[in-house]
Amino acid sequence: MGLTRLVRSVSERQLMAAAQREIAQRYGVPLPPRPRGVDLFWQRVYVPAYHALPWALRTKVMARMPGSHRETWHRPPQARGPAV
Amino acid sequence: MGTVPVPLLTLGWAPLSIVNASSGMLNPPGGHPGPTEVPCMGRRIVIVGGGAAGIGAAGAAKGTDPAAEVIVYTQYQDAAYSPCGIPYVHGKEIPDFERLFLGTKQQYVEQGIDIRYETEVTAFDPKAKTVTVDGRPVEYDSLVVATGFTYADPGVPGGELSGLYYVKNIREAMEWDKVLDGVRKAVVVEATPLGLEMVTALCHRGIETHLVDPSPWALSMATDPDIAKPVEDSWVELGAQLHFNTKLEAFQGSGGALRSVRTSAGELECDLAVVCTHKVANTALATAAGIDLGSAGGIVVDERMATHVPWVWAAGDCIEVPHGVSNVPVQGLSGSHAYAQGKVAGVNAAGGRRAYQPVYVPWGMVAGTWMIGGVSFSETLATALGVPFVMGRAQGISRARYFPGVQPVTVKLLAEPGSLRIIGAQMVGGEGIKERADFLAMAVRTGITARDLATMENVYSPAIGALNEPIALAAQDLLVKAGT
Repeated sequence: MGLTRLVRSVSERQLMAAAQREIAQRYGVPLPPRPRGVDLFWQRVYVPAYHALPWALRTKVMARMPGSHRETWHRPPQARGPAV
Repeated sequence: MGTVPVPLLTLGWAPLSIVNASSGMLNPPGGHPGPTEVPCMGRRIVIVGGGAAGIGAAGAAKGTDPAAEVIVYTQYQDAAYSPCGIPYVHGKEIPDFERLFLGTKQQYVEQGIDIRYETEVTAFDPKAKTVTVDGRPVEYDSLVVATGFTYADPGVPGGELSGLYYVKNIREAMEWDKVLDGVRKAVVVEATPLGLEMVTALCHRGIETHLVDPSPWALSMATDPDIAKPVEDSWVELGAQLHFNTKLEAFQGSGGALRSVRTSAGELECDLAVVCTHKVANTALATAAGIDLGSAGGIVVDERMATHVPWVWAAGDCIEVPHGVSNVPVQGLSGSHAYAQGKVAGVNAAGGRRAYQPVYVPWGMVAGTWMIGGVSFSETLATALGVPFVMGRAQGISRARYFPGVQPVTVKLLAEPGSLRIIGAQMVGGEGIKERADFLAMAVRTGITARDLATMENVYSPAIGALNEPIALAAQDLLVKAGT
């Protein structure tokens, strides 16, 4: 697994775990076990740091990761006005 | 049998005019190899993989250039069947596996598509423009890589035991179906879309079924607990035992056969474990050939399904494509995505011009006694990524309240604050979920707002539609929450 793949994969997993805990609390669903070991670092340091970053910075970092989104993708133009 | 990816968010796509809106065909391009650069007669198009993407590519290539020699290599005995139907044969909703085949081998022969069954491509060389088959090079003019996916390794001891079922190949499924007749207890590992279908199928089969998942509710990557709850309750009614917030620790056995799984919540005896982990792009061949991969682990392609390497296209579960809302690449989508991507790759590999679009990933399925579905963002996913949203929720009905068979339909909508553009939806109900998911995917794609949906017109006909459309009710609730 490449570095960017690894970073994205771990980041997604940790952000989802934090969100699941929050949403589970909101809906009264049994909470997942508390994080332990290395997960503690991710949950206590990375997740709050991610959410503290300005959105523009986050998207800039995401956009710079390698992937298909950096290739050519066009949207077809939307038709406007009456059809007939 | 798809997985639902995490669409990281970056709103906004700039429309450009090089794609013909009605046909999806590209206007004259810039930069990619075009049809004038290859001989138009007798070009050889080699396709690696006989799944939805590979077969879609083969048909489209032949349709674009009837004179082309189209060769499909598949390591399996069959091509062009619907693996997504396998759980429903196991669950006895579909009486036999034969119905899952899309066409006979003879039909492909008659179409001029040369499928080489049980033939493995072990390498390809983009510089020499050859694939290696049985140790010998085979030349190509255009190559389409459609190598599909593998299931993520559960990463626990005991993976070598017999009794671990990975639902994928139809011939193996036929054998496993016989095994199921003798299974008393089964464990389904992970509540992915396939996991949901297999829990339901095994319950229908009368097998004591345990679902083990590390998350707090089913399909937690795509849904919220209020949407998943009816499904989970119906599984319990069907006899399933649900073990959420539970990690798989080991497959345990004796004499080489599975006897139990060890989990963070204790040991579960079983004769069978159905491993339904998420799909990972099968990129071994592409990686060895120097093709670029992206952050989702799939092959990097552009809108023409072209890789960085000239004359090499790729499609299906082995690639990644940008999410239309987030602009971040996602991988491991549905068979319909793979087939459509394959067709785009096939047209372009044969000298035509066609473009694919960023995806919004409508999804849906039958789970337990409910239909469940959605598109793009859930409340959980938006929360994970720190995406601001306004949410509306409503429960409506699928037909006139007095019409026999009327079913509840719950709709939950997420919109971007301010503009109120729809960025996601989830639904659970008795019927009509797939059509609403498709419709809402187009709503997200075209930038429709909650205001538009709140005042939408809807079909009212007692047998098929209620006076109030549940989507409109959810949008009206969203407007109230948004204070407009």
